[in-house]
Formats: sequence, structure tokens, C-alpha cells
Amino acid sequence: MRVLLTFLILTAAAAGAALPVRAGRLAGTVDLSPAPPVPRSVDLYGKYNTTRPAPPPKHRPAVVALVPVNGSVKLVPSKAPVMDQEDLQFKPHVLPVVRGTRVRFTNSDQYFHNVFSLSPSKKFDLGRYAKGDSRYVVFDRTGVVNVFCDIHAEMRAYVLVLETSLFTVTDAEGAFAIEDVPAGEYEVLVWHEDLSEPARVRRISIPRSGTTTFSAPLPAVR
Amino acid sequence: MRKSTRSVVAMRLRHHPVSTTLGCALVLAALCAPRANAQIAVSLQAAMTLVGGDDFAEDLNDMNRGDSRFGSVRALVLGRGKINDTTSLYLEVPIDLAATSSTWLTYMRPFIRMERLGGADWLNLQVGKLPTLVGAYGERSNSTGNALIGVPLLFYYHTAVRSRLAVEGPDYFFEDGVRGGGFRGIFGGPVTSFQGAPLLYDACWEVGSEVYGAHRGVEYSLAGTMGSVSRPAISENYNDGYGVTGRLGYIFRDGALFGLRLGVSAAAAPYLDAGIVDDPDFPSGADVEDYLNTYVGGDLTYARGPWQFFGEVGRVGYEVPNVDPRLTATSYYAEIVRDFGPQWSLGVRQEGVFFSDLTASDGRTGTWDHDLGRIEAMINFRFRHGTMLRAGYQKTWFPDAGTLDAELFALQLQVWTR
Repeated sequence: MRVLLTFLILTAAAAGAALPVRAGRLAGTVDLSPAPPVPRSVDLYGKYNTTRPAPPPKHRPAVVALVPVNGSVKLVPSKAPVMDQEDLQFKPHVLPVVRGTRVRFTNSDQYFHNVFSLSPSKKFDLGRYAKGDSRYVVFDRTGVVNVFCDIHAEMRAYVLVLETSLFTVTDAEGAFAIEDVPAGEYEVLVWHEDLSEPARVRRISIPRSGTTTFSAPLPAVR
Repeated sequence: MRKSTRSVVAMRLRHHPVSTTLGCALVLAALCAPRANAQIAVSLQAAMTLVGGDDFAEDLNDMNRGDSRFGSVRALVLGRGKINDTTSLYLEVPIDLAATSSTWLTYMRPFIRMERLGGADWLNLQVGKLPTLVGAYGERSNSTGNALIGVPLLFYYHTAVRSRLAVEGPDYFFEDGVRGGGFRGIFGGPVTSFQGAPLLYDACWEVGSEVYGAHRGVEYSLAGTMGSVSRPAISENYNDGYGVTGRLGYIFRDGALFGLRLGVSAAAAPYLDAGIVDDPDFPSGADVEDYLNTYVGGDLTYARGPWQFFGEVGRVGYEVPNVDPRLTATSYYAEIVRDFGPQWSLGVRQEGVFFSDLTASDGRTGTWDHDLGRIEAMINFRFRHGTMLRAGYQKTWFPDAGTLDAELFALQLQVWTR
């Protein structure tokens, strides 16, 4: 009986591997507008810390996400996402995650940081911790979480908590691709940091295979 | 009769050459910045405070101009004009509705910061009106992350020594109202008619030049100044002397002590006003530069998780004409801050000032000013990024002069921009 069961399982696995993946791909561009100057707080007093943050990127990235119109996609928490603090900056600047994901906040600088957020979808304060140390936050509600450092006012980042596993961040030119999208009808969400929540920009149909293209301007701030 | 603009400018140039020059440089830089592709950043802090308690408790927190951290409406404009990658012009403009009207220019605080001189990360230069040079409090004096409202006694307490008054001898300090009277104006006048010499004085920035830097955890600062720690020259040199100020520190960058910061500071400079030589009690043949104001102190800062600890101890010395030995005052503060989540925090500071003994001509011995202690506690609530409400209590006590004890309650709304 045990031999028969093993045979059936292996056969099923082999058959599954041989089947074509019934998933499409969404690719395209978001027209990123040039990033406005980043406001820098004026620090007259902290003279010993002469670390200068790297210049801001020319464009701020956007997040593109797909939400099924009918039914739902099984939420798989993002795999061990990390938001680091290095050279007085959060890296990455924008981190989209699936609801329920635990994010690791590391410190790679030679001085303390104190990550905190006052956003309604997640309020937290990680306290001061040293280089090489980490703290964790589970993001269990969807929404935009503004992340700051309590010591370095110029540090700012975003965690975008989504009710879907199908998302990506655009590159510096606005290009993106979401792989392995199950066939079906989806709403395309686009978010950038001027928006308080992701904007639903279009309904789109993803076939069982092939690449569907999509381009859009940045949603306007309402 | 109203003075003409020309005569006012001439007067300011004569009496406040440094700040006038720096102020003009700032205006010029602001005008030239767009053309030179410079970057200008401005931050604003504002605070509205309701205070209750003893009137003297409010006086005890007053600075020379009558301004106070507990003032009803205060604002601070911070500006930075980036001239190039390594040079920036900084400006701090404190505004306090309780302060006496004065030549506004002298209270603008411009300085130029030049970083990485010769490409060396550890070699930087500041010239102008410089933020407090000794100790560690100056760095967070106006920080929006400061959990307490009051300034530590070490950084402003007005003693019975006066830089504009020559005394006959030690007996002066035993006269009624002298000890504990540093917050009254000179000759018993109103508070704002120039108070006693502070211990250190964070409220007024010193004109000078400072080289400073940090390398592998070692911090250093060496400055030449026009005034002294108790009598900063905010715009003009009050005598012909110059001072020197230094700080050496170390911050642990690895291991269990990561973040622990230790420092020692020292300073020496003449502090008496030049005009004092005309006082009949000023020793004949002496010079104001013969009398020094000195400082030696240490600072410690540590933080871990939701806890922060700040502590400093320092000894200020005054050489006073006709008074021997040198007068000293030792002051300390220990401050603990505990965060409770992202919105709530509690800060508590315990501090004290102890004065050296002096013997009067009739053999009486006592401290040359009244020792005092203080505790201040504040609970803070951050509504949102840049908005804080705080409520707290401050008690000051004088073990040898209980009638001066004072309590104060405060509620403050603070807002600031990034």
C-alpha cells in the first residue's frame, strides 16, 4: 500500500511539472515625473556627524500591483524583506509587502537609528539599536506606512502593505514586470509616495500565457 | 528724535561689527544663491506654553533678554544656504515674544561651516556665532527631540558674580539679596537689566572660530573665542582678551558599549567688561584681562532601546577683583528619557549647583551663592510627525534659603517642520 501511494505521488508530481504554467506576465512603464527636491531639515548643531546622505534619485519609484476582480489570490507573505539604514538613508526607499509580512529593519551605520511610524495602519517604535542589530515589525493591516528615524529627521521611507502578492516596484525609468500572474481579470493599482493610498488606474485581462503590456502616467494627487 | 537709517547702520557697525558683517554676508549669500545654484533650506520650530506656579520660578528660567524656554510664544527659524559641496552658511534666528526688544541683528546667529578641509574627513571649520562649544547639551538644546523644556542649570544659571560690577571684597557676597539674586538685574534692577554671570550660557552664542572633527570615534573641537563661557561675546569683544575652548570626546562604535559617548571640555577667557576699570573698587594697575573665567567639565551620553541617558558635570571658575580665593561653582545634571511607543515619552532631569566657600572680613564663612537643586519631569505626546504636546513640572529648591524655593507647571504645544 505504501509503495502504491509513493508511486501515485511521484506520478502526480511529474505530471504537474510537465504541465505548462498557466500564468501570464504584465509588463510596461509608468511615466515617472522628476522627483521634487527632498526637503532636508536644517541641523546646525550635530557637527560631528558629517555623513552626507547620497543625493536623491532623479525619479521616485512607483509600485504597480494587481488585484483580482473576482475571487482572490492566496496571500503569501513576502520572503524575508529587509529595510536597511545606511548612510543616513532607508534602503529601499519604498518597500511593498503582502499583508501579514514580517519586515526586518537592520542598521548598517556607525551610529544609532530609531525607526518609528505614526501611520494609522501601523504605529511602532523600534527604539535605538546598534550597527549590526535588527528589529522586526509585522505589517498586518493594508495601507501606506510612513517610516521615519527619530534621530535623523531627514530619513524617510515607505512600506506599502497590500492585499495581494502580485506587485512590483518600477525601476528608475519607470519600467516594471510582474511575473507568474494567474489568468483572469485584474485591477491595476499604482502608487507613488505623493499618494495616501494606491490608485486604481485600469481593469486589465491577463491571459494564460504571454506578456500583456501596460503603460500609464503617474496617478494625480487628489 | 528718530535716528536716520544711516546713523543706525553706522552705530551698529561700530558696536556690533561681527554680527553686522555676518548679517550682511547672509543677506548677500541669500541674494546670490539662486545665481550660484546654491541650495537654501529653512526649518521652523514654534512653541506655545502655558505656565502656572510661582512667579519666581518663571524668573529662574529667564535668560538675559527676558526670554525663556517657558515663554508663552517662541519660534526658531533655522536656515542653511549651501554655497558648495563643502561650505554652508547657517543661520539661527530665535524669536521670543517675552524678550526685550533689542537690536535684532545681534541675536541672529549666522556662521559658516566648511567641511572636509583639504579633503580630510576629520578636519572642519566653523566661523561666526558658534553653537555652545563645551559639553554635549548644546547639540540638543533646540532639538525637537528634547524631552524637557527647561535648560540645565549648568548652561544658564545666573550667579551672584557680575561682569560689570567691581566689588570691594568678599563681604559683598554676604549682603542681603546678593546670593540667590543673580536673576535680578544689576544693582537690583529689573530682570532684564543684565543678570549675574551665568555658569555656562547656551542662550548666547559665542563669536569665534572652531576647528573640529571626528575620526574613528574620537571627537575633537578647538576654538578661539572673543568672550568666555559665562560671558559669550555675541557681537563685540567686551574686553581686549580672547579665549580658548576645547572638547575631546570618544564614541564607542562597536561592542556592548556601542553608542556610549564620553567627553571632556575646558575653556579659559577673561570675562569682565572693559568699562569696569573705571569703577573705584577696581584694583588700580590691574587689567580686566587679568581675571579669567574658566571651565572644566565632562559629558556622558548613552542610549539603548527606549532609554536615553544624558549626564554632565562641570566646574566654572571666576577670578573676581578683590576676592580671594577664586570663586568656583560645580554643577551636574542627570537626565533619563524613556519612550513608550512612537507617541509617548517621559523625561526626568535631576540637577544641582554647588558653590565654593568664601570667608567675609568678619570671619563668617559661607558659599558665595546659594546652592540649589532642581528636578524637572515632562510627559510628551506626539500627535503626528512634527506636533508634540507636553506637560510637566519643575521644582527648584535652595537648601540654605528656603524662601526662594519655587515650583512651576507647564503645558506646551510644539510644532516643527522637517
